[in-house]
Amino acid sequence: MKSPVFVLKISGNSMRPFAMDGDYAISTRVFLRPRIGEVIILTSPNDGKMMIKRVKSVSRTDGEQRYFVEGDNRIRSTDSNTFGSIGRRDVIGKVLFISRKSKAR
Amino acid sequence: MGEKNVITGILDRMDERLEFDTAFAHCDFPCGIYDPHLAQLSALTVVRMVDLINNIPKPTASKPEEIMDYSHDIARAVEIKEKHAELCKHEVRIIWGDYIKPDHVKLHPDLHEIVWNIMKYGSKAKQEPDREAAMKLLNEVNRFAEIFWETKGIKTKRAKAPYEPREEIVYPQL
Repeated sequence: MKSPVFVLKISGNSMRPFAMDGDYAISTRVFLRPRIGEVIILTSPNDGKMMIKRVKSVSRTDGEQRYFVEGDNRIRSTDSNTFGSIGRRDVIGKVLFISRKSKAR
Repeated sequence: MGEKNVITGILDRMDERLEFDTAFAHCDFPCGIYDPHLAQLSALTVVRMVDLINNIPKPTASKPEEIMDYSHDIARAVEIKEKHAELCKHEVRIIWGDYIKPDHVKLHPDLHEIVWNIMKYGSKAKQEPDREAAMKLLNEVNRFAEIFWETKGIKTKRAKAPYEPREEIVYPQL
């Protein structure tokens, strides 16, 4: 059984200043649905890798909730502007808080 | 030491033992380098591979060595065709997704349909050694290249490639 709370290490800076490269994202799988403004962990429709993005809008298409996600620091962030909105099944978890990386690391 | 640092210290030690999975927060670096040339060459390669596949001499049924050679050559040509059709689609998707903006589409309302056709003909070219599909792919990529250079204010010309399959491609007039 998968743990309801899990930790991921962040790679990249598309979520600056909320989260930076090397930070830890303490996240949970226990929630009903993502809400606008929340930061989520999702499976990239591009390559199946886990990504961290913020929910910018929610829509309903053919009875299914769709989430438009973006990076906070988007110059050309790889996000819904590239791969479109995502479904609930693509959402892995919700980020509870970020623990900054140690300076000495 | 603040509370967060204590947590981070614990997480650091846990990470050393457990190796946490990674969540990617990558941005494409804004290099601004876009060029449809690679998509055009890929489409041209698809046409060339279709020609080669259709012209590899058929083996004599009673000669296993000829069958082996034929199978080998076909396998290689098909693999190259497959890769270049996919590369063509990939390159067009990048330009379409990262460079093309709604204003470009306003000026060229057929742009989305051209991209959609490239995806469709690219797949068709993978499915079978169909020259017509390969040429449709090349034609649509050429049209895409013309629009791309037009968005940059650069004129283009069409000329036959100076190598096989000697089909027409779009060149920017720099």
